[in-house]
Amino acid sequence: MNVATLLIIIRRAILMGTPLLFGAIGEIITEKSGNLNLGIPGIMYIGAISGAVGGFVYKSSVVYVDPFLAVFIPMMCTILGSLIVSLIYCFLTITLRANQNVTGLAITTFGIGCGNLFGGSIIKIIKSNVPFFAVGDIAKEYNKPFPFVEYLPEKTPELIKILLSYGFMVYLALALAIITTLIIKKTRIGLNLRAVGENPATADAAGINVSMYKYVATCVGGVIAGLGGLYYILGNSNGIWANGAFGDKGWLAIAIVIFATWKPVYAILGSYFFGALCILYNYLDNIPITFIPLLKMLPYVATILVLIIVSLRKKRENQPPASLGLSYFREER
Amino acid sequence: MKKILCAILAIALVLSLAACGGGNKKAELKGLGDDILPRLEIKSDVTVPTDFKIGMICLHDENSTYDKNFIDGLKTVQKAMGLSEDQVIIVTGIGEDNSCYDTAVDLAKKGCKIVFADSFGHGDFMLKAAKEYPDVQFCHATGTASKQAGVANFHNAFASIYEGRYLAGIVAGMKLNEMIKDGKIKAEEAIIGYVGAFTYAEVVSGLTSFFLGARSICPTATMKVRYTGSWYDPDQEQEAANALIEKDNCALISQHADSLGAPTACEVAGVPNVSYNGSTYEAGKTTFLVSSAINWAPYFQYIIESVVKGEAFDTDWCGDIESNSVVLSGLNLDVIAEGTEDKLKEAIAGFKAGTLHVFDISTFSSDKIVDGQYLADVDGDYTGETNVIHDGYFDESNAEDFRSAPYFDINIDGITYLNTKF
Repeated sequence: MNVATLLIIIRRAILMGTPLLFGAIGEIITEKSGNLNLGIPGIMYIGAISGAVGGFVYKSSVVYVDPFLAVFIPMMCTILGSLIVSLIYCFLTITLRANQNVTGLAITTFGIGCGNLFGGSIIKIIKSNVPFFAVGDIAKEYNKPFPFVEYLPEKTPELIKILLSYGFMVYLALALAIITTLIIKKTRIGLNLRAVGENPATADAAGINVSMYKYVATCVGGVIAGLGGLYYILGNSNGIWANGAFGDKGWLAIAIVIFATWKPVYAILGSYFFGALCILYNYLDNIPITFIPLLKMLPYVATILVLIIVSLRKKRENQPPASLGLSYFREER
Repeated sequence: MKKILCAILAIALVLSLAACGGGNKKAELKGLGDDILPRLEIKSDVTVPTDFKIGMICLHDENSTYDKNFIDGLKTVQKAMGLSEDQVIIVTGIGEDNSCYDTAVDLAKKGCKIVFADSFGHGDFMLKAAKEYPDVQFCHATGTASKQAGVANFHNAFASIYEGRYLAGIVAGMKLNEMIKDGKIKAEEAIIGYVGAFTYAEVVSGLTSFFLGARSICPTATMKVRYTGSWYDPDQEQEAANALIEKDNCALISQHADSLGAPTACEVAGVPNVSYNGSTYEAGKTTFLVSSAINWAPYFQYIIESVVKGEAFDTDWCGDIESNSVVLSGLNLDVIAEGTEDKLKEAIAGFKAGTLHVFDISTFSSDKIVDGQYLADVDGDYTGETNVIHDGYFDESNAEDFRSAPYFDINIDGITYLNTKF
């Protein structure tokens, strides 16, 4: 493998990993509050279809696509869509104290079904002879690099050019990962959030509003994950919605949370690494076709390995929040 | 801390807004021309009795390009022949397992005179059902077993889509020639990339006929093939196409896989793309060239009319351009090279007259062809036993003498398979 190929793989891996990064950050914030949201794949799916439908409706209703609205409308739709689903999850698990695993899986099933329903309906409405709908004009706005990139000097190293070639969402994901880390580690809010996730009874005794923290963390996490779905459709797929294309990325995002040992900054590396593993085999030559499924397994094998290593080392800072997945009953104390 | 956060957020917002600046320029596109080989209107003088029913078993539902093509074909015939909603039963999401047998039996019990299944792996289960219900006709698309099975009510069907692929190849060849002429690529850089699903004869036949079509126009054309190992995987198809474009320097891409992955990668990279099974124009307005597809409506009309009239029909049937089973979309007028349409008309006339053969062995070489003979696997046991080369060409999809499903599975000169040991 030569340097040119390596650069292509890096460029594609970042593109591939960004939706996963959004999903992983969202799930980390949620899990820090003690909520194990297995509904993330569904929420990302809903986020994706909300943005795509929003973009489609906007694109169909105007002659010329306004760059600001093209970015704003799908994003607002995604935020709204994923917020609603997150609120459903919160209400069920926090207020009604339903089992988090069951609720999460139900949300995932619901999200994928709901996304396919809307996607399928639009495909039927436009009577496309191939089952998809396209919001290419919208995607173009999302994938525009920053204006100054054009004026980079000729001699800029290829790697820098690649790192600056993306649309704003890639950098937004990076910024979110860093901001999240800062908030969790350095602020009072972050301390309270961690307290809620580790031991809600103690947090409650200290006067922290446990329900509110759980609600806000889960909703913010859900919205961020939803943005991952949006970026998948508009960034990776160049604005093409096809039912089922989103695939198992939501689960990969949850795997990255474990891989990153609940640290958003590590999730950056994890996402890009997973992104690279997902696409790697396309850039290898002379491998038998029977090897392809084995190569497709790599991200999951990596997750299992990390789980084993982390479990063996038993370092306290690498463990999940202590009350992860448990409902909090104040009366139980 | 709060102040720092606010500042960071504000900067992020400003930057993101700055990224969306830019003008409202939008070039006027000419769009698609008329279909080269259109789906003709179905005309039937046969009156279908109200108690007639036809059932169809689909592997996936309308969200799969492959199944949608069958469903659309049947619905066209339904409308044209005046069948009511209860006379056409379409069952979707039936896997290639015993559930296919159960569904086939269920449809027969519901009174269907014809039961149709659309996927290769449905074959064995359809045959099992056919043996138990001799009064019902069981038709299986893309299958290979009907002739050997010797069961009177079990049928196979396909179309000579390799002719459509060859025509699409001509469009690609014209485009490559134009790119060479304009100095965008050198003659030896006329590399076509191909994203294939599996190493089956159906895929190899399709990509080889496409390549031969292109090479008949652009003699320096070569091809590189990457397999994804799946019929539907948007990410991997996109990635395979991207690898072909960026790593393998392909100047034009085509695919035989069901998602929009490859057309999307082409649109992003600005590389011309030839589609299959349906127009992907919407996904690639500035790169889509043309798309060939099988039109199943003529076959549905044929079997329904035969059953209604009480006549026997072909055990193995292969549609062609003449029967309107092979269709070709309109050309993307913004992308195609000048004179493409004339070249296509010439080739179509050649096919209709029987003078043009896609797999003319004087146009390619392969070490598998010895003394002008090649033993192909026609009976479906994966070992070659029948010579299918006569009169100087490889006789693909000859339902009368051999079988309708493709059996061209040889590697020819000019095509490199990148990720499989062939």
